[in-house]
Amino acid sequence: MAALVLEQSFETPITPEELNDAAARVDKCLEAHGARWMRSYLSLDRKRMICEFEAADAEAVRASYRAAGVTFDGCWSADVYSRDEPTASY
Amino acid sequence: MIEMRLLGELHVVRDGLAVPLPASRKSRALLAYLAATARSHLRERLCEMFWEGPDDPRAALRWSLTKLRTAVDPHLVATRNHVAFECSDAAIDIRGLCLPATATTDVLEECATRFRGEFLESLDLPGCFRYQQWCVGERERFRQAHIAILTELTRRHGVTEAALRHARRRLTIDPFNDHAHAAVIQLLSSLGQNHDAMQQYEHCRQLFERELGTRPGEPVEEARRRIGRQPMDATTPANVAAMQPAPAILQAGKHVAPFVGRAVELDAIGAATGPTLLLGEPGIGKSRIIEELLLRATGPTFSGRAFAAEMVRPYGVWTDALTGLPSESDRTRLFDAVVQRLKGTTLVAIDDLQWIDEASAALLHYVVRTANVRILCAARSGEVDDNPHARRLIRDLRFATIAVGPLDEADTRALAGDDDRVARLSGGNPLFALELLRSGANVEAAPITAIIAARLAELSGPARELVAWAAALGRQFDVETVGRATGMAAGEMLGALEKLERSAIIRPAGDHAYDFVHDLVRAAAYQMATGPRRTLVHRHIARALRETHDPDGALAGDIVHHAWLAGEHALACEAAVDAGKRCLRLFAYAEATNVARRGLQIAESLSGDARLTVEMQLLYVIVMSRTPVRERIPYAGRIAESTETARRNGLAKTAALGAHLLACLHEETNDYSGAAEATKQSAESSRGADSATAALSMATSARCLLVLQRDVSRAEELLAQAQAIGIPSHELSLGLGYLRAHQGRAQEAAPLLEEAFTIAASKQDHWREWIALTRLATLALEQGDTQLAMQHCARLHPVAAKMHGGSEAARAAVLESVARYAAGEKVDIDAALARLREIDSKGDLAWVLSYLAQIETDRTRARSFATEAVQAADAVGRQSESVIARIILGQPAKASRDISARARSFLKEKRNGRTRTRTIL
Repeated sequence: MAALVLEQSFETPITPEELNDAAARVDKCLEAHGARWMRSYLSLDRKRMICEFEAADAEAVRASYRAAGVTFDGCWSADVYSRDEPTASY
Repeated sequence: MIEMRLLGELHVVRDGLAVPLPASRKSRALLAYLAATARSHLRERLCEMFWEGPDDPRAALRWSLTKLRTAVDPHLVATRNHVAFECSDAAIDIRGLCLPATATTDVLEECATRFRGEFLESLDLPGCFRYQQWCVGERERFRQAHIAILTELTRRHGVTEAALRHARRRLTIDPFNDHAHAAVIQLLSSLGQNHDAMQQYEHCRQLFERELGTRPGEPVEEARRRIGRQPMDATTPANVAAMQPAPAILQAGKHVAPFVGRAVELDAIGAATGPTLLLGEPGIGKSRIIEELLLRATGPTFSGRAFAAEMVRPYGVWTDALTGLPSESDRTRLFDAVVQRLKGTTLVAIDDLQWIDEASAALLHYVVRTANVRILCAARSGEVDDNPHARRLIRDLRFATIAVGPLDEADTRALAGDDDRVARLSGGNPLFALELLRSGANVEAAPITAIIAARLAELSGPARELVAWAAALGRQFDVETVGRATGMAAGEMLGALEKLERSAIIRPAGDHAYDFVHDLVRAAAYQMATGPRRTLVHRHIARALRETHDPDGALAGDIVHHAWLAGEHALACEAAVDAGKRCLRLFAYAEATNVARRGLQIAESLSGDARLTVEMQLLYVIVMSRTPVRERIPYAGRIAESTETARRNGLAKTAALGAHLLACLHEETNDYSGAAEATKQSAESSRGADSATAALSMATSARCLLVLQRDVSRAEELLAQAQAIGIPSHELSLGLGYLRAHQGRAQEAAPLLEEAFTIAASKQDHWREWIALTRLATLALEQGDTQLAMQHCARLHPVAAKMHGGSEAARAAVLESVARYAAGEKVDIDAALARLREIDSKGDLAWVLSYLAQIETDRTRARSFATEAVQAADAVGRQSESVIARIILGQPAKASRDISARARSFLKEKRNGRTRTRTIL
């Protein structure tokens, strides 16, 4: 499984309802593609968001967003460095 | 010693002093329920009764019990699983009501005084069906008990003023009873008040004719005939006084009370930078502050008010802002359109936030964050805690809260025209002060509701009749609807409206509507009609609303409310379906679910096929609302059961809808086997049913399975069912195109994929345009037609250009490179592969590498392609590419039911000992 990062931006701040609605639609497709949402970071002005997933490839995440009709700015596979494992990657 | 009064408004008295109760209606209703039932209840049952819904019901119950404990300690006994009200040491007014036939007259009199109003007056919770049903049932039981006591007292007191008082009281709670009218007429006549007796008969006749469409029965006619034998007495001083109109306190046309004081509140509002909330008790002057600020605003303003929860009015607050907006494809667009409309507005004021609906709250949330406009709201303190949408708004948007308290003495005196008595009695509550003023002199200390009720009781004639109807319609009412519901002649009605306006009970709100001056006034007016009369009022209103031209279904929510209270269950359910569908159209999913749940509860009173049909429609509303699937999945059992019954009863359309709903639910939970089973059933019984959505979702699932090369047989079945429904769509063409390509039927696949592309392009569905074209390109390559593949690739670029953020442009370029490479052109295929690795599209990589391995003439390179193809294909579960690449490498490859015809033919050739040119390396 690879770590995937997806970036989104919104012209107007995204509402919690929109967020939940989009998540519900995308989650369904993600599961079908064997991908898993890990966490998201939503900027305080609610206009930018970064989501982290685990999936076999980036296309699984892109296809899920496309199929769910949810727009995004980019999606890329990543190596993960963290405080616990500064040199480790997925 | 604690005393609980349940007959009338709920009151708790300890040692002679009134105990303040929580402002939350649900908390008070819970206390009343525990005290009235006098037994232990499971926490779970109480949660179902009061907090059914998505929030955390057990936490809400705990919160309520904490609030109640301080009021009624130590009577509230709560264990881990049970809650009870310990009654042994408490006096509860409904306990020990006497049996009229055997009780002494003194005991009967004492019992009669316990009835200060109807059981749990005003403590309705229309959103909590189980509680409400219990409350309505108990209300009727105690009304009957009250009637029995009053009837017996009337009998025992003979021909006296006391008997007349009891008879009149009975009439107010039993207004359609011939004997009740006859008793009053007879007593008046016997007491020598023949004019009053005749007036009473006339009132009875008009009431019966207007509201029941009949004439009074024989007991009333007999009583009238008896009057005729006695001399008439029309001019006693008392009768003349009764015919005088009630004094008008406010000048006609002066609809808004003077604005006094509030310097502190206005300063605080001026200083607040973000959204602001005025909090205070009813009548304290929150709305008046809002009105004043709207008047003082220098630019355009918008004001709205939330409606009491019993009405299903999605976006109720925003009705004016939404009127005339075109229908939108999603909620955000709808919200954007409203924000656009509010452009230039300097102040948005929302009153009665404690009743706000989910959709209105979502829109307010959006407006606060996106529109540069001042937001001022007002809510009743305490009650606002009952509404999760209001709570969330206040928390999320960090409202600056300003407590609106009583006016100080000087300001109260200024409002009361230096009337010491009014200033003292009102305690600084401006509505209270105004009501005291309007009531005139000689008003003793009493709760504000009693003062208002007393003032309303002074009304007479058509004004008195009309006010109860208007109150039943709601805070704001439309003149035409009132006219249609009451059947009152236009002239008579206009006179009545004018009188109500002069008495400062209502005020104009726009060209065709009136508004009660305060909701407390409306509530008091509503209480004027009790029991059967109230039922009748609601029935006439429900029918009048149903006959109103309402193409958008905006009135359906109101019809549910009135029809339900009128006991017109079939009409209520029918309206609940309409209201639910309207909510779905407006993306008001929480309201859609609420009204459908309410409809399902009411539908339990129906029977037979009508019940099945309406239930399924209501379940449709629930399934189609986009609330979290975990909240909808519990309905699967009920849908399955009703579907089965419908099928047995030959209700094909209902059974088909049920199967379709099950399919949608299973699909949402990725229960494909459940979905396949349900869709199969749906297709079996659907012929003619509205299944466009079902067909679309089946086709989507099928294509998804085909792309992932998983459960292909199920995909095949899903597509067959979708086809059987016979509604064409790009998703269906796409799914069938994919299936035919998978089956190796390229000649059939290509036109289907082209068709899918054309329909998707017409719908601007770029994602599906892309899918159709890429499959056409890969199909052409698989068929060895590189020129055709290149043509398709050329079509891919403009589609990819329209898609923001994804990998489509890169993938289109790679596919074109592969086609050119296959055509023998000089292409840097390694760079193309590097691009695919970079964007991490393993499915594409698997297909491209396995394809390159087949056409590559350099054995080492071909082997390298095939090796990587196996890795990529295995990583994403693309079995066909894995099989093909393994065969090319000479590795063992397993057949599975899900591999493509192409992969199958590779396996077959290998088994037969034949090999494709260049393939076995």
